[in-house]
Amino acid sequence: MSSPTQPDSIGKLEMFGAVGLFAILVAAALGKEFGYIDGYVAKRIFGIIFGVVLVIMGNFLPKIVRPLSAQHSDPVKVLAAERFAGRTFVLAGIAYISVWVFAPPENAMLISSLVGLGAFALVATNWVWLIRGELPRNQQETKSDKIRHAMFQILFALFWVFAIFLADSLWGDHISRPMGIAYVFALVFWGALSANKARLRKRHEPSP
Amino acid sequence: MSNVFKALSDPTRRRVLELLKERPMSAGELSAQFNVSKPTMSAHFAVLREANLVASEKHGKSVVYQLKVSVLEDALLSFAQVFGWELQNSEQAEPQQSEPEVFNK
Repeated sequence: MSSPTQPDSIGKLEMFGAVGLFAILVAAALGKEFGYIDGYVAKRIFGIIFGVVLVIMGNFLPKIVRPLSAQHSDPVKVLAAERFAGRTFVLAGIAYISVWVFAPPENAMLISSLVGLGAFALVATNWVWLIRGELPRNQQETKSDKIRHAMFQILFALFWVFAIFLADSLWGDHISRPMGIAYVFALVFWGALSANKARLRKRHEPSP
Repeated sequence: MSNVFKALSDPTRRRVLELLKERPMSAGELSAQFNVSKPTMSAHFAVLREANLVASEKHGKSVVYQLKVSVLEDALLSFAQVFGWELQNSEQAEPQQSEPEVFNK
């Protein structure tokens, strides 16, 4: 029926960028561990990196489109929701970075967490409002879905980081540490859901 | 990125992208909005595809386009629209021997 153009793939530049950001995070963590950099400086570096990741995810979210044949019955709403999500994450990411650069260290974690979580709440509310009642017309997974799944996993991780930072600011370590462990369980649960979905999809595929 | 600037430098192509913001449209529907020849429109579509600003699919005999712009590219598009950004050399789209579009509505 349709032959979509080549879906986007993750190029070398994106891979190097991701590796570079991860290397900076590891370097900051090790620098703090061995006393080369102050704890606040390390937190600022983490905060700025998370903000950069949020900006990048928001920027490219509207670009990884699914073929029309695999979209909801009203692709206009989905595309509008994704454009809104992209702009919101980019603006929130810039605000997040600004907080970590300019705000006093003792306030930066709380303010930035509220900015980050506020962006997710806004996007989720808009998504639910626009998409309510709409279900995918076609459950077949497309190539662009894999990139989208990876992006959603990164966004989910960012959401959890913001929630942990907020909990740490308000209630301290004894709440934020279990939340970090809970993230691992949430990932396992997500993985199990995805595997089950793939299994169901395979079972309902027409036999050759 | 130079392909993106080239694509956004033409007012016709910018108008195509603005139309696609409303909803995905076929090549025929898009062409009906402009008073240019079909080979010229085909060339514009080719420039937009090359810049990775649109995704195209064949639906039966027609080609349907949907928007595929990042937030940064959307901002550049708005900037170009506001300031009437145009290239002044021969880098405008010219009818070439590209894959023929099917302009069925």
